Amino acid sequence: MVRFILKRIFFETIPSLIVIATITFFLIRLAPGGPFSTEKSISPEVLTQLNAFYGLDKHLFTQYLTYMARIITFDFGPSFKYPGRTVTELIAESFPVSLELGVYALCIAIVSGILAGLIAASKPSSLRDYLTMSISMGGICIPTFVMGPLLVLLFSLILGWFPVSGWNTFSNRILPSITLGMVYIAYIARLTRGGLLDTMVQDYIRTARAKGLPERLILIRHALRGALLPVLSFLGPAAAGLITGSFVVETIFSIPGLGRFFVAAAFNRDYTMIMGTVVFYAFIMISFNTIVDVLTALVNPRLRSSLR
Amino acid sequence: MKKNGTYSRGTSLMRDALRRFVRNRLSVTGCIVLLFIITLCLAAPLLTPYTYDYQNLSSGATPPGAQHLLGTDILGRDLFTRILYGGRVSFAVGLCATLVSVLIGVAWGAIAGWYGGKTDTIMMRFVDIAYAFPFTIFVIILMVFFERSLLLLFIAIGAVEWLTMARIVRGQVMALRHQEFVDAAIGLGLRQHQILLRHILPNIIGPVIVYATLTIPAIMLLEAFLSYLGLGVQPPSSSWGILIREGTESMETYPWLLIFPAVVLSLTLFSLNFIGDGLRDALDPRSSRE
Amino acid sequence: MPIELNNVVTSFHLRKSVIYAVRGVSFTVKDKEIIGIVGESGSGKSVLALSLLQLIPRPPAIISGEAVFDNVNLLSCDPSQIRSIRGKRISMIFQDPLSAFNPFMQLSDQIIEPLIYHDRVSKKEALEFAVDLLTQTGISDAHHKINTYPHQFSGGMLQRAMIAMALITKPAFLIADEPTTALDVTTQAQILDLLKMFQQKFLMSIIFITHNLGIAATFCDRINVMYAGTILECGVTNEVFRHTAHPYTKALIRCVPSLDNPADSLQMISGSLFDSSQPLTGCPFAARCDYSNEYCRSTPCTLEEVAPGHASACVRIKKGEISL
Repeated sequence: MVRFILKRIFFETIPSLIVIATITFFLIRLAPGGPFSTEKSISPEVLTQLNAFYGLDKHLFTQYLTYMARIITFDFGPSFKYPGRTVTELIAESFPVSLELGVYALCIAIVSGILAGLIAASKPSSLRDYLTMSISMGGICIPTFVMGPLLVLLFSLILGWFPVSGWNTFSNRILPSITLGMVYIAYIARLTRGGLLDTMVQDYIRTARAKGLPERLILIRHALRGALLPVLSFLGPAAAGLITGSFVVETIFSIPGLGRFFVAAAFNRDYTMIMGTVVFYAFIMISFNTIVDVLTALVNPRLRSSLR
Repeated sequence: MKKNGTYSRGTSLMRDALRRFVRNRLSVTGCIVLLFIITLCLAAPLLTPYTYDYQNLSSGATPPGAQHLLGTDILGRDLFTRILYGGRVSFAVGLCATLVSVLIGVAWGAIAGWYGGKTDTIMMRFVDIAYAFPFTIFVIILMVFFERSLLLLFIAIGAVEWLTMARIVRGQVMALRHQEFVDAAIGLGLRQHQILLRHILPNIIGPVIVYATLTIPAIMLLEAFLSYLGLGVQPPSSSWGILIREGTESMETYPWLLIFPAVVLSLTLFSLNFIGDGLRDALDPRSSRE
Repeated sequence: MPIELNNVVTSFHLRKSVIYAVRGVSFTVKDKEIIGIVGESGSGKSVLALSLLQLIPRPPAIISGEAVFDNVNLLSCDPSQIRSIRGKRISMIFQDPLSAFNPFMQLSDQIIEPLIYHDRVSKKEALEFAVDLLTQTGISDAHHKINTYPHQFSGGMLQRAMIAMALITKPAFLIADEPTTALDVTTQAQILDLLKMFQQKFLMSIIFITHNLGIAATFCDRINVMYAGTILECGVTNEVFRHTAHPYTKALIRCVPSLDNPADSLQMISGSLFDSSQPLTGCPFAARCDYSNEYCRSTPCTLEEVAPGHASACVRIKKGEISL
């Protein structure tokens, strides 16, 4: 298994990160305008100084090589818009917040998604099935930037149960987590339902019935394990979605997470901050996919040998 | 073989699929709702006396009523009109960007799947790497750094959404590549592009249609998201994303400005998703169990 | 424990047609008896077996008739009652052991499941019993191997494990649906010996389903020959083979490859199976039968005794018009 992971890191993670960093670097550099072009009051001398400080006066390719060399040591350089702070610091400070939000959201999504899938699959093509799946579809069809404000409107402004924004107390975390998690309930419910319907026609389910087990026990004990494999593989892409989804939720609820920093960085053309977050996000996504692959293989006894 | 020497007419695959689709109540409802919304958007000039940017500050923020069916925004613009015109933009972005993504995805996947070997490895490797790329971020960067035009928006979104399509098409083409009718076509001396066009493409059209129908709502959602961030369609043009953004800014005092655009967008997304699901069940009989 | 089948009919009601898989089967399995059901694939024998435990999904299937076991009609009793019988008093063994086991669960958990569910035995006790039973089926090092997953076992070993799983509650009745079909010949013989041994030990009755006449001949006390959902001939095994009383049985016997006479070792029955969506008007085998005439095609056939303990559905045999 260690060999499997090492192989993934050296042959997939690192090359992917290099490619992504390169594309992003040249993309943002070749675009017109610069980080200081919006501030019109800057005198030419100060601008030259600033450019020299950030190494922007050197040849683009030299800058690229310097940057790539620095990344290896996880040094993403100084931020352009937050003077005196390094990008690494900013990420280290804000990512835990995003991570916490993401974990809560994912837990909500997994629990309610699997539950919805079980309910729907227990009686396929029935009213119960249609109703459960339609409701869970709401998570995909009502965008987070609609769901968030609506939840705030209802639960904070009208009912006054939860605070409107912030990230200090536990009650701050409820609405954002639900908003973000809603999106994945539908996907997980659908995967669970499909997986269950696929397994319920397998021979081993008939064997379980022949043992005299009740339907509910068969569904949970025998069918669910196999049915959850697609859900597990979905967690990779879900992580990606959680990252992008968290921009909006963090903005709506004023949460000091990485997503908000990224959007601010993009608008401000904070080169190093953009580069840092992109590479960091890519790293997270690839690592998550690797972890999910390993988990999938661990859960499925037939695939366990492929880890060697 | 049936008695009396007559043969029952075989139901063609497409007719069979259509019958299954029509039996699915959710997707038929989706079709009706979607057609209704599209018709309203297309007929906008006939349905409303206002234009999308007509301002009348003296009647700003009027609640829904006889004069303004869905009320007006703070600048006195008629919300109903803005939703209809915004719908045109949202649908246009959804359709065009889907087209871009279908073209790239099908071409990429078909070439990789058909030639196989090294070509396939390199092309799919690229897709794998691209998958790890935080693409929403890519679109944001594009929209921030370059001129914000609708064209760029199409390209940016289309460029994001073709990856899964490429994977699906590649899988299908790979499977077809080794089937006997393709060997037969090669044996008959058909050129490769003839085989691809006449034998392979018709066979992958089903999954492509299904995935494209599911791509449209995803893209409309992405457009709305970008407009919401202020990176998409630029005011005074309207799109559903912009309307929702404007709505959230004043949702405490003028809730209808958020609720109506949100309902229309969600209804459209619901319909498209139900249609996509219905098509998938209809075109892939294996997945529709009873 | 005996089972009495009386006019069992299993039909599948699809949107446009009705498929008759079992068309009125009656026979009795006596106490401690092994009764064989022999027939080609598609003859309805597996459907019959699954119907007995209500393991056919309903709808689309409709099951009618009686199968009386301990004063209970298995075919119409309510779900909780049939569940209390399944795996406890009547167990079942399936054809393909690899697909019959849950690939995601350890064998141990699957084998002890009936015992824990029906008899509320503690897990530890159940495990001990399972290991003991597995050892009896000839699996060495059973206490170790029981903690593995199905894919790590060979087909023969899995079939032994399935036997252990079926017998762990000491059922009075066993339905074995082609238990040796997926196995190679040497393993087949071992599995059959094993079943015989357990049958004598637990005093079970067995319904043994197979398409292999040779196996049925050595293993079963009595044989039912099934075709198109009906029984064409039944009787004590020796009697059926020595004094075959139906052209279909005769044709089946001829199909068994024989080493003594390799020249005609690859016999086959020409024609195809009776269309199961058509109602039965005469003998279902008539279209493929060398001896059939107009009368066969138009007269419904019923099983009637031709000798003590031996019945046939062939009208021409019964009338003495032909002999085989």
